[in-house]
Amino acid sequence: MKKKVLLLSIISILCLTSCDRKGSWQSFTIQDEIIGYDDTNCTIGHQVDPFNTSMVVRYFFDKKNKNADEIKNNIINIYTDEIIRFHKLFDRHYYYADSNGNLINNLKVINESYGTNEEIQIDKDLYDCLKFCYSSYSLTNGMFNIFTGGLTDFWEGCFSSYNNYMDVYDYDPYVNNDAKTRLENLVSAIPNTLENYNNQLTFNEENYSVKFNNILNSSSYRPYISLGGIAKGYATDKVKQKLIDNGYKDGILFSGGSSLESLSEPIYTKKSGGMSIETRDPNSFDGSAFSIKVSNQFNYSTSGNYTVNKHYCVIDGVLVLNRHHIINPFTGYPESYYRSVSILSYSLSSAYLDILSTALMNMSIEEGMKLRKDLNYQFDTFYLVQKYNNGNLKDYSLKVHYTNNVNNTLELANGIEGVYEK
Amino acid sequence: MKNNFSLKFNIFDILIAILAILISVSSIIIVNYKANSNGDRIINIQYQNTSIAKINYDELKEDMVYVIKKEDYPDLYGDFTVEISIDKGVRVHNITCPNHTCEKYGYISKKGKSIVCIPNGVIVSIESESIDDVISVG
Repeated sequence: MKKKVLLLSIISILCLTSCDRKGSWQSFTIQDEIIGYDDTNCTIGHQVDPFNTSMVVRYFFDKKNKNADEIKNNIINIYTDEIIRFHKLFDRHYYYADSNGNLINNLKVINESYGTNEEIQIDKDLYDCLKFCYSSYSLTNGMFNIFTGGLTDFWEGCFSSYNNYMDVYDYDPYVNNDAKTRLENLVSAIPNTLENYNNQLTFNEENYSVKFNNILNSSSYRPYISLGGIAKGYATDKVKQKLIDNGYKDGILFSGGSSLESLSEPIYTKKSGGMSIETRDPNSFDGSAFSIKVSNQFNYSTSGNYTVNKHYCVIDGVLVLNRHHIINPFTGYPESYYRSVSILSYSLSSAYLDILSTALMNMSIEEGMKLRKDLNYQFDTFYLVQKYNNGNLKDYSLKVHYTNNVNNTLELANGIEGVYEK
Repeated sequence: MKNNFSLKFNIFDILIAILAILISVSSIIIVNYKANSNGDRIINIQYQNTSIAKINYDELKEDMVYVIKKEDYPDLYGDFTVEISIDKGVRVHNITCPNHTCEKYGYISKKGKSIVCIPNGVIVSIESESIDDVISVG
């Protein structure tokens, strides 16, 4: 009898170990339109995309799920409510009204209050996010700075003006003196010392209010708060927690096509060895630069300029400078270290990864490695470095400098060299 | 007390053991055979988060166009055109919407990629028949 029990146990174990989950993936986005307003009375409205990009939740439905429709509707409702709520709070371009028609004190309202000495009472989530950003300033040696809204607007203006790289002398501050002067003035308005940074906003924990101070006593140039470097990640962390609290764990949150956050351990067949993440080659519309496989709950973020054929300016036919939207707050320019920086972490939040990928884009590898050590090696980095030969845009080399080969799953595309950084 | 556990097998025990091994090995082979297949790429076109069309991209023999008609879906800003190229992938084109964010994606062809048009409530995504979904970022 015992022999038979033993045999049946062996059968069961062998069968179970050979069985993977059965089901399919489905993608969803927010259900409702977002209307942003130009005025505080909320009368002149525009349709806006959440965080000005695509936000998608990808969920795995087991074949045996009998109530798949109910699950889907619940996920969409939770996702829609939270993403829209955070978008309205973090948007610095438009005003929004709540369900009662009252103006929401969001980032635009804070920016408009600059120098008025007015305390603006805000939602606790917006308050906590601003505090979190403040604590990240020293960690990144000032490379993550939320007062760079003016710089972002300046470079967006440049990018929209570029028709091809021959226009550089009309627009790029590296060679155009008028643009250079404007840029330098914008940089001078950014608090770039710890003391100035700390004095720029006054926080009141008793009623969750902030005051945006004019510490320069200047009326010509002033700082603008932008949460573009953290907003998507912060919102995604909150959505994730809400989905998990409601029992939904079999999914991945996509933010803007550049950030991933898994709700729990990823789903994959045992034979495959992990969920595959491919990071795009920025020189191709759809090709991959490298891929890794992950088998634990993870967060992954990539920053850089993925705009094919519009990521550079060429000076005098020999010097190729990267042009992208992640600006060094000290110089006012985007650095040319990398085409992209990608970060993988099993412990740090998406908000943290957003901050790090922003800061690392403007740091040398040595500085980035020090930051990684300061954070106790809680993340791994993949720096994609592109070098041109004598300004020839068609003659370049690509290297991925990486800190971890992710259990030997790191695969590089043909023609891309890997460099291990200890 | 007499010990019932004995390592001496009779003929029936041997038959059960062979059957058990055959069942286990067969299930492993079947599951791995299915896992070997990466799964075709399926273009899933959704309106308001509900699938309205699924097209097997890897079985297409020629380019095609799929149009979501406003007359069928009145909340659309206008007809919504999905262009599918067997060489380049899938994109949305000449879309009537306030900001045209969706058109800036260009062509997508990798599993896990999506084109989203919030104003029109449309998602065009490339799915896989396999649970080994590949996620593309950047």
